[in-house]
Amino acid sequence: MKIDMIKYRGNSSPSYTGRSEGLSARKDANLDIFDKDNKRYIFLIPEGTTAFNPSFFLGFFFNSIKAMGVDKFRRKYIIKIMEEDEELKRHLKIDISEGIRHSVNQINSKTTGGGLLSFLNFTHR
Amino acid sequence: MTKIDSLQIIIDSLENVIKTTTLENHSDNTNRVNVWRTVLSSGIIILLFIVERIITYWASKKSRKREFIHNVILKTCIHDVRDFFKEFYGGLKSSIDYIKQYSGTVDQIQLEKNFKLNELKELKVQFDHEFISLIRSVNKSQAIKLTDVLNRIEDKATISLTDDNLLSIDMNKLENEINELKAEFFLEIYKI
Repeated sequence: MKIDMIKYRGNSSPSYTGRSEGLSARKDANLDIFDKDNKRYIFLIPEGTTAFNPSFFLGFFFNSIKAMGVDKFRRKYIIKIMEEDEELKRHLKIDISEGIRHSVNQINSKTTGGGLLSFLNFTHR
Repeated sequence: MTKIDSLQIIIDSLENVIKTTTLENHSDNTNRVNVWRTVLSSGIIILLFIVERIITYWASKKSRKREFIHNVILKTCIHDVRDFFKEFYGGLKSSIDYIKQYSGTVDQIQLEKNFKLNELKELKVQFDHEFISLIRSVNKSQAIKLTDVLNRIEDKATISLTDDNLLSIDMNKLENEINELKAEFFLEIYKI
């Protein structure tokens, strides 16, 4: 199933910004329901898009990544960039990978352990 | 006579006290009691000292950790944080000024806007990788809050630069908004 993301872009704006905007778009797209089925979905980022900011990505996709994990998310949800300009496409890909990275970091922040803090705790034991 | 008698009484009573004390010192039982008293009081003092050390250790554990993070990580990076905000706002302002004066077709202007926006986005990503990654290793939840502030700064730049009518942008308002986010960023650093 294909989902055209053009309707979630701001008024006459070529970019996707804001976590709250991403969350409202998520509700409108019924992603909570999609998360639970076994189908694959293709999200089409329309031509002429200049930015798909991590803030919007987090609002739109974070709950899905949290629910199913990154690997399943990547298999289930395909994000297709329709832009043909290679440079712009490269930057949109960076935006998406940053969005995924931020989501993973946010999920990991809820778990303890690791890092320098763990080292400091160890030295104080 | 009365005066002399009184003096004698005092002298007698002092002699009596000295005698009693001397006798006590020579008594075995009293000696043992005194030794136990000394040992007990010394033991209590040592015990109190150990308890005080333990309480101080646990109480200062958090502050020592915080001090370490501040001295080793934050103190050395604080200039980078200031530089980032200065460079980001400076870059945004000069990009807006440049595009305002740029004469070209709609497509050419759009290309310039994209180019300038992507320069700022790269600056943000680089700062995120260099600074926030370091913070993440010591305090993950604060790193998330800092990332959120950075994302909002990125949104400000994106909205400003992709605005169809750049001429209408209130630069003072934009500067204030970026400064507010900068203050919020420093507040989150302080909470680490």
